[in-house]
Amino acid sequence: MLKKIYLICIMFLATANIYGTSGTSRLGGDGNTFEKSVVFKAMNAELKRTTGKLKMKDNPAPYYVAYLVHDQNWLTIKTDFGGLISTTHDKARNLIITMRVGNYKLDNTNFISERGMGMFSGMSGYSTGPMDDNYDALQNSLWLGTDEQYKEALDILAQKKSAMKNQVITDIPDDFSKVTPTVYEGQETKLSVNEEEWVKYLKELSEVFKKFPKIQTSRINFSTGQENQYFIDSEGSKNTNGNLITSLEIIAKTQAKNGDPVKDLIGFYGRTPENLPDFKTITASVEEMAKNLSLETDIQKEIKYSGPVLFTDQAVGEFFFYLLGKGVSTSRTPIYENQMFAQFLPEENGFLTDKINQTILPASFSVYDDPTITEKNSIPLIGSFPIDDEGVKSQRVEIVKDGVLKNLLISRTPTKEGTKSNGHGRAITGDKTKASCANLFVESTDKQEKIKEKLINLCKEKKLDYGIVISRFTSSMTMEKEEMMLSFLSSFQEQGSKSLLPEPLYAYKLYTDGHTEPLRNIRLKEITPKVLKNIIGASSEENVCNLIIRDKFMRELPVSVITPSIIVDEIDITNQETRPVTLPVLPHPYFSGKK
Amino acid sequence: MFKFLQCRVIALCLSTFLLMLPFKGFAQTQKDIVLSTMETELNRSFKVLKSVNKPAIYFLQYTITDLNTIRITASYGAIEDDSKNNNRYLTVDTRVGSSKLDNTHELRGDNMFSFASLMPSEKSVTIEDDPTSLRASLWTETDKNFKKAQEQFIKVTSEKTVKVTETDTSPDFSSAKPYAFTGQTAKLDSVPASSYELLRKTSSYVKKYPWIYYSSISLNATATNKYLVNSEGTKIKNGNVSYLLGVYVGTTANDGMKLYLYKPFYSKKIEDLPDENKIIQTIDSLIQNLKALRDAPIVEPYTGPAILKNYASAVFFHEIFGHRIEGHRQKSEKEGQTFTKKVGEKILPDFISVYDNPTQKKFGNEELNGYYLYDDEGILAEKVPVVENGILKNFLMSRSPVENFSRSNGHGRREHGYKVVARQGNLMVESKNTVPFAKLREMLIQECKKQNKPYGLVFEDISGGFTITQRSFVQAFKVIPLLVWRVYADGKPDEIVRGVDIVGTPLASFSNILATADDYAVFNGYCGAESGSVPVSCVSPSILVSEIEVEKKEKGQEKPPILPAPLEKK
Repeated sequence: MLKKIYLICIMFLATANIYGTSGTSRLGGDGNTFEKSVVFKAMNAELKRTTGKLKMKDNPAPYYVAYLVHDQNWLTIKTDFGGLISTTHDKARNLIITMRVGNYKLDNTNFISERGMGMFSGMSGYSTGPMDDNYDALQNSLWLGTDEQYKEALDILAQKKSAMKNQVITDIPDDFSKVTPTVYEGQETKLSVNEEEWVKYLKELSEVFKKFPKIQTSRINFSTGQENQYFIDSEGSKNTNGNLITSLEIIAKTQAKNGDPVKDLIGFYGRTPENLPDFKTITASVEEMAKNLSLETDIQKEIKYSGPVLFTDQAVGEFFFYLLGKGVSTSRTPIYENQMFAQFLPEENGFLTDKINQTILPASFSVYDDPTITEKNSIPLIGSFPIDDEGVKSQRVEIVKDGVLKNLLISRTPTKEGTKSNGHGRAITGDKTKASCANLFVESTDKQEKIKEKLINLCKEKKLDYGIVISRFTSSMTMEKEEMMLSFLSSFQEQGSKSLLPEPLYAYKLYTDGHTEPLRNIRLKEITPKVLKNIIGASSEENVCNLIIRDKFMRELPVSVITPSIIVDEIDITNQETRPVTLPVLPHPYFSGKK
Repeated sequence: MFKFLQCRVIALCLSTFLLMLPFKGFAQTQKDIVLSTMETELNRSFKVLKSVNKPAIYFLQYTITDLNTIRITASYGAIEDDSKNNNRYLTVDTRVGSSKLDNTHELRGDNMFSFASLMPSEKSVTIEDDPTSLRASLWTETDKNFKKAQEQFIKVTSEKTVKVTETDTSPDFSSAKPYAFTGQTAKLDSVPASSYELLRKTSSYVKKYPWIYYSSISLNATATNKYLVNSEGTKIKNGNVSYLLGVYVGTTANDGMKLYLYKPFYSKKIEDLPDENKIIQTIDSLIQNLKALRDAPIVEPYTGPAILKNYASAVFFHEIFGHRIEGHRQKSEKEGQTFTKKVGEKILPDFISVYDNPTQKKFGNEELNGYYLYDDEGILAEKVPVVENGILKNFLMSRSPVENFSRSNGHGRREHGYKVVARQGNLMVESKNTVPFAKLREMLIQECKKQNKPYGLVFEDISGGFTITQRSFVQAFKVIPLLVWRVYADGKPDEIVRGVDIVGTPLASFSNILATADDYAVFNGYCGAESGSVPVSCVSPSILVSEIEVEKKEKGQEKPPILPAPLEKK
């Protein structure tokens, strides 16, 4: 169980320095970690040397340096059809160095250089450090990493300045915003899991598929891990905090009769293994998934639908993450050395940020994001954090009030719409730190007890035989190496035709007489942020969705969305384009001998 | 995109710098569940797939590679990496059509996306002896591979009708007799707890030298068990354990050149790895050379006589000679085929013979990393006389025949997931005309005088290199020396120099060998090429060449660190 994050905050102002603007807020803990931890001692020592002495002749010294150390300890267990595929223990200490040269107004960031196409710039500053608490080794690694980052930052700043000379750039926001330094001491965490018991259970769980002859392949992936972070920067912020995350994902794939591939993934996410539902509940969900997927193999896929759609369970969480959470996260358009990269690496967030004080949802809806809430209905929220990845205290942000967009989620990278961080800067390994949602709470004042009945009534009014219910999208879908390559290549072609929502994984028809029929390989046409206004119903029941969102590079972002189920009117649904493959020549060896 | 294509045309060999491994074996007594499950599923599939669909299957092979690895790395007195993994990878080989023409036939048309076909295709299967789970995996992989093979075969047959006849019209697959063999089961549970302390302690030794910016001591232990069955009745199970201890030190010269030295120790038993004293000695000697290198003058491009010292010569032979005698390169229409038409001709001085013998376990007291009994097509490995008294006699063959070489000699190799091609095992360079090294050095000086050169070069260590064997590029090679000495003709003391790579073209280089020393040494390493990374060895004496060409090395532009090392002030 995640230690309840101690959030009684003692705010005090440190003696104002001569510029009279900065203070320090101090949260939680007794400061023991900062004094005793070898990691902090080494970081302090090297930061002191760096800020005091690091300067290359005829070049500016760094104006901002941050060290972030991530101690990771992961256990991964995979099983398949009753057999154990692997158990892996991964331990690592990652050093993440942020280096800024120039000044808050113009520095080495928010720039995509031609070199390296900017694609992997997110990895810059990452390195592995010593796992032992060895002061000399840690300081030595920080010294070399800092030196490298400083030289790279100088190089990039020079490139950026030269690129800016040839482009007409007016009215750009600062590159980095100032914040009040924050000191936070959270709890360190320790991975604790009964490995033997989980291996046994996961093998058993994978045997569920022995009851479903129509499913061709399945895989169970379980991982649980601890991440303790230690952060310090040159503005006086420092923090330490522990994080735990556990995921159990079950993937099954097969083919419909015409050869179309069909697949499903269900995921259970929490802080610790104990946060997941009990084994019986998980097993029942997997059986349900396998049963539905088996049904999908027998049905016709052709569908042309236009009408109300009910989003429930995980799908409604994904709906709000993609359409609202991403839309209200401020996103800085970088300066491109070569404009071609602007097309290849489009910014996917921030599409609602110009709608401040405009109506974006029905008046009955209000939305806020609050990373400081650690659980809801006794379910731990995996999107929560006390302090963001830029060392800023996380805070509740009222995003939508009575349907009107009021505030945005902001990191320390200013944009025209948002200049002051509200503690939503999140770092994803392999990507730059961006503003992202954490725990998104969607509330409605107009709630129905029986939302499915409402859908049926709507269908009757519209003279439709059935309405559509979607309960899962593909946001967590993992890809194998070949699939990733294809997805990467196709991302160069799909500009302009993108839908803001991923493809549904599990959806079904709800007939007006109450019976259901699964759908397969469907897609939602032309989904824009405008559909938010077409929400015509919300359930009284709340969904607490813990989600691991994966992008096309398989980078993961844990978020929680707490929301009622909703009905959206006038959604067009059609089929995905699929590439049918002939069915297996031989029957499955396990089922071929059985009746 | 270009980068991917480049991987295809270059047989890249970062030989010394890759991995490490261990050894322990137990006799196999009871029936092996993995092997028998593979056999059952193979028989079921093969029976159906050879009769139902056209083009039908005519050969099916399953390989399961069980890898148990432990990797520990320490730097500056602290453990940096500590991982332990156990995985079993399944590789399925499917051939449809006939041995004369099948889906593996080379496509001559250029396809922008053909690099995708070189990506390894592997599947993790259960690490337990669970027949149900394993058979389910075998079934899906077989079906997937069979369909891919059918698709590919259609491309092959349609290309046949539109392109000119190939120069080499050999069939695609040679016949071979089935083998049955059950060898040792390799086990690796852990390494001694003392290994961690040893690595911490020895890696902290560099603290005395603040100018050493990068350093590590690493220990890799690997137990590999391979299970192989095919539709011809071959059934092989064999395992081996290996260990590698690597010592690495690096720095940056004032002009920005990154310099490093690396010394690997390879063994089959952990107790045969160097002890603390030996590791410290090694670090000391590497540091001494690195310091000399850091302060060494940069050599200008040069052509003249040189000695490739034994170890360097072994790397050189592996890279420049060995890759060119691999069978499939004699057949491919894209290959440069340096030696294809030279069988029976003199390609080396008559005092040199070269053979490749994967079945040789040791050279002197040293274990050979390229040792194996059966190749990855289940063929018994053979000692192959490649060059006898300077005359080219044979190529290293997989089951892909080439003109006049119709059978495999057990050199079909790959890393799991890749397609098999002919590769080297233990390449042995033998000389009938050897002199002590001191004499060879003397001969170098004489040669300098003869050529009116002020100095000759001695290459003591080579990190690896790459050789382009394909026609679409210059068929040259580049070898990256780590440690080079300048030996003056006028008797001035030898000095370490830096900043050069050896370049050249293969035929010219081998015709320049003048003499050899009697100081055979072993290069053990891992070689990466189109069939993945495989363990290899090469044994060679030091060789004197009348002419070698060196060119300027690509150099880093970053200055050494601005601030002194944190420990420097203490």
